[in-house]
Amino acid sequence: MAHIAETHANHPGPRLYITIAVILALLTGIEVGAFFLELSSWIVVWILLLLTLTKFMVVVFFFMHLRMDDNRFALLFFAPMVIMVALVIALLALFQNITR
Amino acid sequence: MWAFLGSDVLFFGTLIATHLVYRGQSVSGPTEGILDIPVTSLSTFVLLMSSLAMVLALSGLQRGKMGEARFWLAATALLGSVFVGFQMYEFAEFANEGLTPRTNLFGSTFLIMTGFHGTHVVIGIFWLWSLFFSTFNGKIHQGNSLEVEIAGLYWHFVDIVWIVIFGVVYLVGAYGAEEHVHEATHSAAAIFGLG
Repeated sequence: MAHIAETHANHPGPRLYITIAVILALLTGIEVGAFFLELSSWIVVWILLLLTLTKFMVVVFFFMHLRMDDNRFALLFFAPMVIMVALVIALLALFQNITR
Repeated sequence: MWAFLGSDVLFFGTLIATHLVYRGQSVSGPTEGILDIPVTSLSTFVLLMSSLAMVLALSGLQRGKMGEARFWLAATALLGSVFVGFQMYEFAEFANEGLTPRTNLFGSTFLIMTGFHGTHVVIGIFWLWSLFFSTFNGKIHQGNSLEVEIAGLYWHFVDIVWIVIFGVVYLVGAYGAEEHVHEATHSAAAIFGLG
């Protein structure tokens, strides 16, 4: 209980949450803007993947409070994530679909 | 909850991997070109804002402000319902254009993946309303805000799954399709001496 109370005390306030939401909305806007850009396809794809990863991490660490939570929770969440990313890359490489 | 979310990562990861592997393998029917990016951008924004409402509900409850907690819990559930509405509209549009789970590989993998995500959202909405009503009979209060925090973890997870689907499947996928269309157009133009 002491751990829970301590964790709650460390949670950010509404102002930071609103700032984060604005950042997420802006990142989504940039994503959609990048989609309509007439750049080399690999540049756009990497921009989109980078923005997706950034939004993902922001939600996990700030909204889901993983930043101030026990490291074992991070392990429970990120271990399957690493397995899945490796699996996706391996499957795409096998089917030679990775650059389409 | 974190252990469940870890298992759900594998579940959605498998669905997304299956979709990506079969991308570009459909031999008939509509594919990525059918995706409506402006409409989905709007629904993505709605889901992101529902995540904001969720953390504000938890923050209100932890500070003992029950009215604030109730307002933001209801707002989260309503924004989730709007997202589901967008998804139903999208599925209806796809059906009108001839895309169903039986049409081709794109239809099967895309609709099953997004359908399971939508089901998660609907479950989350029911959970949120049950928490909302529990604030009135005293079952949810400042002392047991962990109940709302756990529901919040589930809700944010649904949000991050959509962040990945929107980025990887919608934007990268549809961008690939656009490139494909442009390449085909240029090739055809060159063949007929129009390039």
